[in-house]
Amino acid sequence: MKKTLLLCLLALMVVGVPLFAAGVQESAAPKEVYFLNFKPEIADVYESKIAPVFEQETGIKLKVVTAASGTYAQTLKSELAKSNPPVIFQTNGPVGLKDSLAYTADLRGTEFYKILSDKSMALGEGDQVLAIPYAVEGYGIIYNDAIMRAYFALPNKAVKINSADEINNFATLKAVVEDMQKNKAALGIQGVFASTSMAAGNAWRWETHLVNVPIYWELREKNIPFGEKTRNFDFTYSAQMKNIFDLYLNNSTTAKGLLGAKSVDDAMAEFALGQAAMVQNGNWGASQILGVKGNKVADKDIKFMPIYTGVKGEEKIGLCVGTENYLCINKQVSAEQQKLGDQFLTWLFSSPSGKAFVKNDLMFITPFNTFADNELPTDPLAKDVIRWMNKDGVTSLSWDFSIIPSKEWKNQMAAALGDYIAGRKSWNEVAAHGADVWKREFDLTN
Amino acid sequence: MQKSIQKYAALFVLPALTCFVIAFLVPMIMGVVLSFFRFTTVLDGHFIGMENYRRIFIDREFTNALIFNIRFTLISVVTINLGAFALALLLTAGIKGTNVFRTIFFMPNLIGGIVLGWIWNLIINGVLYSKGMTVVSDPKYGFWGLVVLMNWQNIGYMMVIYIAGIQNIPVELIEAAKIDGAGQGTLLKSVIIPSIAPSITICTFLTLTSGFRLFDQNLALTAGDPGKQTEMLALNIFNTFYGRTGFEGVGQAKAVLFTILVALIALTQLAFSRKREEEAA
Repeated sequence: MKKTLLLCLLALMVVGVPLFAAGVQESAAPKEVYFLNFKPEIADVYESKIAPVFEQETGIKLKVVTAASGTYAQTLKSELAKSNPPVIFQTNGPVGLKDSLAYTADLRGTEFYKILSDKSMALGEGDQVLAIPYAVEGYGIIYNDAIMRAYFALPNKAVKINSADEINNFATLKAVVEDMQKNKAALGIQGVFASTSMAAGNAWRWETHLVNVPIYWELREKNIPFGEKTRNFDFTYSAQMKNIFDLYLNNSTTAKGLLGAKSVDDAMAEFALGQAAMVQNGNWGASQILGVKGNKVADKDIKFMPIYTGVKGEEKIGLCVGTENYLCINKQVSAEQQKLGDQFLTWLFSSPSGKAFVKNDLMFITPFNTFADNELPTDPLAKDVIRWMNKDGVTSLSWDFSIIPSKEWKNQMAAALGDYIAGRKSWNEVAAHGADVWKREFDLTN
Repeated sequence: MQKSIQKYAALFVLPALTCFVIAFLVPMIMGVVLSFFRFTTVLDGHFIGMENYRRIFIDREFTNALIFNIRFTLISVVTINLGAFALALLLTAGIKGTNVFRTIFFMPNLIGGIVLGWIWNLIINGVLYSKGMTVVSDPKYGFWGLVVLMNWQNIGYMMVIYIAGIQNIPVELIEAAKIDGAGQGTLLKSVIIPSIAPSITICTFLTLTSGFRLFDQNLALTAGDPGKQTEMLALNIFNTFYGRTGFEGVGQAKAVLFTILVALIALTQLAFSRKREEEAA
């Protein structure tokens, strides 16, 4: 009896081993590139538009998997451990790259690296090139110029300026916004700013993007160059962040208590439907405005203004421009598959049909030398980012949030901001918490 | 015949054993081993000893989740069992249409946790909307929301177990008690409850462990908001593992502690009830 059991167990092990081994061998499948996409808002473009054309032109299959919003890191982690791991995946900057060093291939020899115009934009370790940016993005306060014009035409307006272009500091912005909120019935809006979305996974517009503004000013004041990490973040400009955050909260479409259930989609829909005049977001949000059913905003009325917070000299700032979109190739897949990955990326960003998708459907402002001026995206937000980047006398703010020590810091910040909205924390406590957790997280991750 | 069964016994055990090994034994051993490693994906890492266990307590997250979870479990174990027992008594009293009601009360149990979470999220937000609040505005809403949800889902299931227990009490016993002059209160206290002690054990055990293992309901109803204040152990482990760079091993270490905790509670509870049953018998 015991012998039989033993035999069976042995048999199980013998049967089991080739079974698992076969799973590993399978990764050398026929020509297929597996791309783990980061951006849910354009997942459909990859799947239904790009994949079929790519296969038609090159005979290579494109498998696209998209992680749900806010879950990329965990999806990537489990996908990488599978027997058929992604060939191309994304990282969000130096901090994210550190987490996937065991998987990032050196891209120096690839065609994809060759087409990058400014080689200094790529990320690496030593002389290796490990991650290449593919989209430059900008964010600020998006406004609906039609509503702004309606406001400036009001006979009882309380400000002296006559167009949104003239807003160039926080004081003016505040005066305009508060007066607009008073006249919201006349303007046909529910509030000036769209909901300050605080639902789980939807607070990144504040804990990453808005917080970039105080980080930027503090680092420049301390003469810390862009991209250099620091252990000491004192939140010197927290009062300025409070200025704008309070403005968002107090002149919103939504009561404070309800913000915990609002998503970014909700906020973008409010803007698209004309219920709000302004929303803080970036040019990636274009598809969320233009694609909303019943969209009431005309293309020509969608414009950007910088995030003014009340810092001295902010009349000369532009939008926050940078990237957290870098692509990596998995070095743990076969050399052949790595090559196919390179082939796909090069195809997408340099072949005529690939570039057409990038311009019209993905709407990326790319950093590649394969794009001529007339091949830049034409959606209103991307165009406005380009306009601000080239505006005379204006400096774009860099994306200094890439040095935030960890995702945990952002989570803590989101929680603290939530507590502030609910009245459980004062702003000083929020700022102190931000500074403390920064040190702790820096020590844990460095 | 007997002999040939013995001969093939091992063969018949094989499919179940295979599943058990692949889906339970291997992951569990891997899990314990990985809690001593620093790793990104589960197949490569390096040994760092007890570091992960030390890191669990660098902040109060785990302790807070534990306290929240204990409070939640204590309250829901009591309310679920009282509710289920009361319903069981009601539905064995011989009222018309009891079968329909049994089915209705059991139905919430057939809905998955995520769906339940979303349904209650809508209901609670709908109620709180008039006050300009949502379920994540204040941790106490999340707490009571979870208690209500858990009750709604589990009372029906526990009720079935209690009904089975009550129906198993010999009619003679109850009749004899009545003849001896036992009133409703005495009947309940001295006959029914002692007779269904095994059911009470099972139900307490089930609700206790499911209270600690709660995950999808927690995720769908509040996702731990506001600021991790309604985060229970299982969700905290998940968020540590997937949400924090370099904390995969810490998540794993938390999972090991969690397993030990749940096992300890369950074993204590079981030993305690067994003893009581033996005394009663």
